[in-house]
Amino acid sequence: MTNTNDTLAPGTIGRRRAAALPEQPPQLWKSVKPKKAYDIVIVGGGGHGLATAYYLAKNHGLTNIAVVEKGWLAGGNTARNTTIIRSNYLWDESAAIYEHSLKLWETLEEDLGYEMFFSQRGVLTLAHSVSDVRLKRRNLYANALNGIDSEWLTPEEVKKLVPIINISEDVRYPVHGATYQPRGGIAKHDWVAWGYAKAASDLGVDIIQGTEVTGFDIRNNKVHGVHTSQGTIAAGKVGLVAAGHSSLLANLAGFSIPIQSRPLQALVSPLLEQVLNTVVMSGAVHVYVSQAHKGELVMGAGTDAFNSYAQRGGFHVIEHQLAAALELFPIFSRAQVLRTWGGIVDIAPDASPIIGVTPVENLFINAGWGTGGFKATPGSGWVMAHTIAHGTPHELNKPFALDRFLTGHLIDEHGAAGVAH
Amino acid sequence: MITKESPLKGMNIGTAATVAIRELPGLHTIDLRVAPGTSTQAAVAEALGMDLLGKPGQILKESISGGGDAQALCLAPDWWLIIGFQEAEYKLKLLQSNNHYHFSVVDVSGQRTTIELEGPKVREVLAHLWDQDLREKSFPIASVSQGLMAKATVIVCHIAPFRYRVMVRSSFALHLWKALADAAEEWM
Amino acid sequence: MSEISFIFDDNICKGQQGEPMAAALLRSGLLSITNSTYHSRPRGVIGLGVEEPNALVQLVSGTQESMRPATIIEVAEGLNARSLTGIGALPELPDEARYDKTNRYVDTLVIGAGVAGLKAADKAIQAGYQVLLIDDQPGPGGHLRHLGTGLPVALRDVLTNNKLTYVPRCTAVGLYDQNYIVAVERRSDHLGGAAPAGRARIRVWHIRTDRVVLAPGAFQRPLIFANNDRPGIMLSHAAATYVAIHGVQIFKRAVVVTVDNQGHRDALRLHQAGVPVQAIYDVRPAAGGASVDAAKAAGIPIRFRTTILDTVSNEEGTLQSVIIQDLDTNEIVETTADLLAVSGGWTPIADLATHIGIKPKWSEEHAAFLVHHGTDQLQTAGMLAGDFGGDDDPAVFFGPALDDEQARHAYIDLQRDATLHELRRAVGAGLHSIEHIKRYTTIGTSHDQGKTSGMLTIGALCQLNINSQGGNSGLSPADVGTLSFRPPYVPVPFAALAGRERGPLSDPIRITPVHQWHVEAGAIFEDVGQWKRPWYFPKQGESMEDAVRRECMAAREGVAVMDASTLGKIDIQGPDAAVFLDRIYTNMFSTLPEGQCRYGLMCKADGIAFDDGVTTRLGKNHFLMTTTTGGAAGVLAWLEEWLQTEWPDLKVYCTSVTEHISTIALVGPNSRQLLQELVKDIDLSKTAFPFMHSRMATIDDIRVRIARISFSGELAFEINVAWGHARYIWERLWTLGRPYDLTAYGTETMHVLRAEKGYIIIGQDTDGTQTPYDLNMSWVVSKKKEFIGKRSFRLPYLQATARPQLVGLLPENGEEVIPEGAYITELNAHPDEHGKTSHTGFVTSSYYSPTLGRAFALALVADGLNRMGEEVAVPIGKKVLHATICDSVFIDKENIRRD
Repeated sequence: MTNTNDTLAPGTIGRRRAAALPEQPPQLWKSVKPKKAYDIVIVGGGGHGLATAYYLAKNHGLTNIAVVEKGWLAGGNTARNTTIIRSNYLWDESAAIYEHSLKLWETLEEDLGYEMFFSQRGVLTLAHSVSDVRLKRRNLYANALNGIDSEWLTPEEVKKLVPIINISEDVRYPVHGATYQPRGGIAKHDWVAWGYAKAASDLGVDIIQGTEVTGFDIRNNKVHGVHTSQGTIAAGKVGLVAAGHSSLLANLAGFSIPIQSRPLQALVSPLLEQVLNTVVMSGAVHVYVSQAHKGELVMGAGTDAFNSYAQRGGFHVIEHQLAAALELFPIFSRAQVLRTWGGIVDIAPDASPIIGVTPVENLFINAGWGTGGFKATPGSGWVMAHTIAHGTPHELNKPFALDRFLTGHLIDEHGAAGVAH
Repeated sequence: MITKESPLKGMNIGTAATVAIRELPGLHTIDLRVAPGTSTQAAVAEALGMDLLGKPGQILKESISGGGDAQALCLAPDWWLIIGFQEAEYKLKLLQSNNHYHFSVVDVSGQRTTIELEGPKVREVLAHLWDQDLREKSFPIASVSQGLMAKATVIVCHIAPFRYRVMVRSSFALHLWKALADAAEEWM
Repeated sequence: MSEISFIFDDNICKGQQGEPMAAALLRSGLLSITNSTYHSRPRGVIGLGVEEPNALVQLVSGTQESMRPATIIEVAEGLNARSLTGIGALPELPDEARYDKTNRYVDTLVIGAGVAGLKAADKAIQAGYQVLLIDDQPGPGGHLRHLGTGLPVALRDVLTNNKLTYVPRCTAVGLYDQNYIVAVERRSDHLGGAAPAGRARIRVWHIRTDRVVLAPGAFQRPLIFANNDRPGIMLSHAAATYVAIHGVQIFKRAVVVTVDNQGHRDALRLHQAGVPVQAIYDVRPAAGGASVDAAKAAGIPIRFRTTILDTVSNEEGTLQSVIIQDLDTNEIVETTADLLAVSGGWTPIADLATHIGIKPKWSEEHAAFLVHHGTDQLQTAGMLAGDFGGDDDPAVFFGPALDDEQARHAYIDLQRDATLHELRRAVGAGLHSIEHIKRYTTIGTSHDQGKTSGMLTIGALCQLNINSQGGNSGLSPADVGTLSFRPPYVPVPFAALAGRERGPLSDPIRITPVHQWHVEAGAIFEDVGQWKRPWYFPKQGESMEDAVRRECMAAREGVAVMDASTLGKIDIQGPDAAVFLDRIYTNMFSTLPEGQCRYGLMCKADGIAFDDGVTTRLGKNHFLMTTTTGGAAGVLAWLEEWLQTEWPDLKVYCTSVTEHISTIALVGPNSRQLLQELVKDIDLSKTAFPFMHSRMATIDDIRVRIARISFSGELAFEINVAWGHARYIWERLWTLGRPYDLTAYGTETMHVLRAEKGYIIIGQDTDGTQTPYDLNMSWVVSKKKEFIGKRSFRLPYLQATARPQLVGLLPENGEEVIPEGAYITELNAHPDEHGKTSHTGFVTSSYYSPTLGRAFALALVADGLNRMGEEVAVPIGKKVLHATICDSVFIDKENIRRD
């Protein structure tokens, strides 16, 4: 056998020692049958729902809680996203909540006592035209005033950070520069959910899988419980944290939310030698890519243009995505698509989440995160826990109230929120 | 008369033995909008001397006064492109001044140019870029359809056996030409 | 089949042209191909095709593709490959190969050219259908190829029928809704150096069919036992095929372990090819049928109620002996063997069916998940449908009971080095869903997507006897369900899916008819959406700043010309056209006289401005609307949406004429004089041709429509001419313009000029949150009529005080251009305890004005219109610039020059 070769000169091929995943703890959570009643029921056992339950227990001492998940825990968007974490959003309100989330990320592994491969390897957002540059530089100035680490990189500086990127002027949409958040990065999505699940479970939260909420017990405009495929569970308060299925749940509860659910696809490659140590996003050419700890490339594509709950999208989206990726990263030519899948992004008219009270008393909602969900997991759970515990929103999620669509106070993140909108 | 320059300057490549690709520049085209089955449509048809009895996806060949043929492409129930009929606008002017009739006639000759492909390999070449059904039974001669080809909006017509025309927006024409030439490379 | 040489791990190997590399390597004695990814254990070939988990190689020759199983690479002269330890390499050399795609529509698509597929194809042909038959192997026959038997004549004839198109080496990778199938054809890799240039190496087929028949066959699966990963342990069908068909003669003593009659068939083949078979160890209590009888008749010992427990290796790490367990007595016996051929049962390939959500059903009789589907649109055939040939009789068995130590080296996913130990740990941790198990253990996440490990996982879960609620009761694979498979069925190179959408073809480049002139004039271009627009025209030695200053001066003091052809143009006509425009625009258009032009702004229903442009009334019922370059398609879609869904009663038609008409803007104090030299048939003087009027005219014998519209604030004439005449007109102007020192200018200068006049650019001075009032454009908001967005102005937030308003900004240092996007703060602003500094606005447009002789900017500032003259701060990194809020019109506020 030839020797392991850690550094590869251009044009050579070698072998690298693969990075193994560490062992999981022996006990993650107990899957239980629901009790007849809880103080709080969280509908939706994804990252946000589990984080909510954890923070309710941890920050507010409320443990008579059940997380009710219709499928297998965190099998929805949490299992399907491309794991990008950053906080350099444009609007103060968005930046505040994402930055709060990022700060929670920074101590999360320690807080939960659970490894989740949180890697602050930086996030680059490329600009490909004069107007693109203008928008992104504005974003930077806004970040600076919000105390968020974000800087401008010239194409040459981008190349230094990401040697495999093509900054040539000859490509269709050359790189004009990029914003860079050094504290941004990635984490292992499943493990994040499991970390929260374990911690919540250890604090006494009941985790109930395979149980679908089919209706609500609402009397005099106040919620008293949820009807499920395993019977009715009484609840003092209910939190809806069901991402792409939020509109359906809201309808069951008798109100509507202005959310559209679209397919969003992603893909991975086989394990490859480490060539990319930063997260790279490009709105103009619709590419966002990182390389995971194990070695697979993780790439996100754009949404399909129609609404769907099918968790699968059109193949042409993948093709365009890869063509764009190869313009930026010619070296990926020989990488392969190993697996494609889809999630459901729930998008509000201003591409910002809806977090807070609903028209039904004691019923709270957290939805509409669109493509921002994964990075917001800790922050979202944290503010949702506060909202449920106190019955009113925290300063951080006040701007994201459902009634902003009546007052006109939208937080329009279409431009800044990433490629898929 | 100062001749108009066409987006592809009359380029042509290839050979009839496999596939020939050529620009058909300067095809006079008008965009006609008129609600189907109305007295207006009947009046328009009469003024033009054409039938306009077609379903979306059909190309009607109409002989026009003064000799020659025009083609009427039915793109939607109320939407036609009429090709090769220079006097069409003029013939409809009188009708348009009559308030009773509501229709729209717009000269769009410059809006698109036409690329014609012909030869035994034409369907193979088009199949590289066109995701619609080109089989005879689905898209027989005198069919028209719209869609995307190499990310450009196009109108595709089946004109004659192994002869197709692709109408493309002028600003996209050079791009589409390159994509078609590339698709036909193995036959050039 | 000719003999060729190829290189593997720097050693020269011999092979037969076209045979699988794995066969050639085995024949040469290479049992151990690589070390495993994480445990560094020696591994060798176990299978025959894409199910192979171990023998991944990197091509060093050709396109240097990585992570391909040696079982599917056809050897050819010049091939050079290296083994991989689970990690692929990405060579930096450019990939010169050609990749393309094709679209096909067919009556019937049959996936799989084995016996079942050929029969289905035949049936379809008889029914009169055109059939496309695709198969991932180099030749037809499926299973029969591995047996070395030819096709029966009837099926051979199917292949030559003219209603059938047969494509080998074409793998169906994805089944999508409405019978849309994506397949990947590898067209030239097998030709090695002889592959013709210019021929696509890989072609992606997009197939749409009325009927699809899935006849993909099945994979054999292994068993879970201790040390089940040693080189020399192979799937029995693969082992028998390598020995009997590919002439692999390295084995001296074989042991066969089986759960079904397939093991007996393979034992017989080994025996007949000259490999001594020590015994067949069959887990079943008894078995009968032709295969068992034949093995018996050949004198091969058969031991029932036994199975494999463990193995021992020699010092090279390859198989040395096997440890057999009697399931009744628990007695164990060790016996030497250098080949352990395992038949753990057949797993039909259900992947494609699961892509569209079909759930395979467990059949105890077949010990397999099957898909019975028989609609007209989709049918299954062959093993997938449960047609196993009749002589099989498998036991439902996935491996013996193992203790913890044994479980640590009982591999379920060989590529991931994931063992039974990890699976037990997952279950113990509380994970019961197979999806959870997969994510916890990473089983099934490698290149093979669990083709052999998937069923083993399900089996192992059942044998752990846990049900999904955590209790202890018998579990059947039917309760567990299958792993979810996702497209693609096999890994597909990025380059193949990118196809020809590379380089300049990756996205359309849109150009105007004057484009070539711009190129020859040395213009530097800007991407505006898909358009290439001249950004500026530098002369020899000029920087961008120099060029822009020169162009601006020419426009303000002489005459300059710009290609404005990219603007969206929409012909709007009908008796209700004026009414329609009144509803779309915030200002009145029904009052616009014929032959005149008016600037219009449009809002969405939320009251937010989203596009603007000048619209000309060509006739009583006829308007020509212009939009921004980037907004053209969106605006037309917007107009159509309202007409078709909300106001179908309005008699209006809209037609895009963006590329029918080209627009050339002639700008500057000398523009009239220059243009009058070209235009002889109308009077261009101020009284005869007022500002915002439109006239037909003639230039040489070309009819043009000239409009006095000015985005620069100077005297200006927009010449609208047929797209095909634009270049001619441009060049005529250029020739006549020489004495005037006519200057071509680009988008940068255009931006500076309009900013000096305080004219907004949608998308630059707006960000999707401005009402017309915020833009200081209350003059454009009609009080007399309803229009889209009007109601929303009454929303509380849109009425709030301190909304950002468009104002001008003059930096204290006239030489310093404030960066666009910079935020504005109060003079004494500083960060609070959270590190946040409150801001009061941001800079939208910022330039140096040669006319003013200083820098200036436009900005959106909170309550800006009430803060004229106030000094503000603009922090730029560590520096803080100062600026004064002022009027947004910097030049010729009375519009004398323009009018």
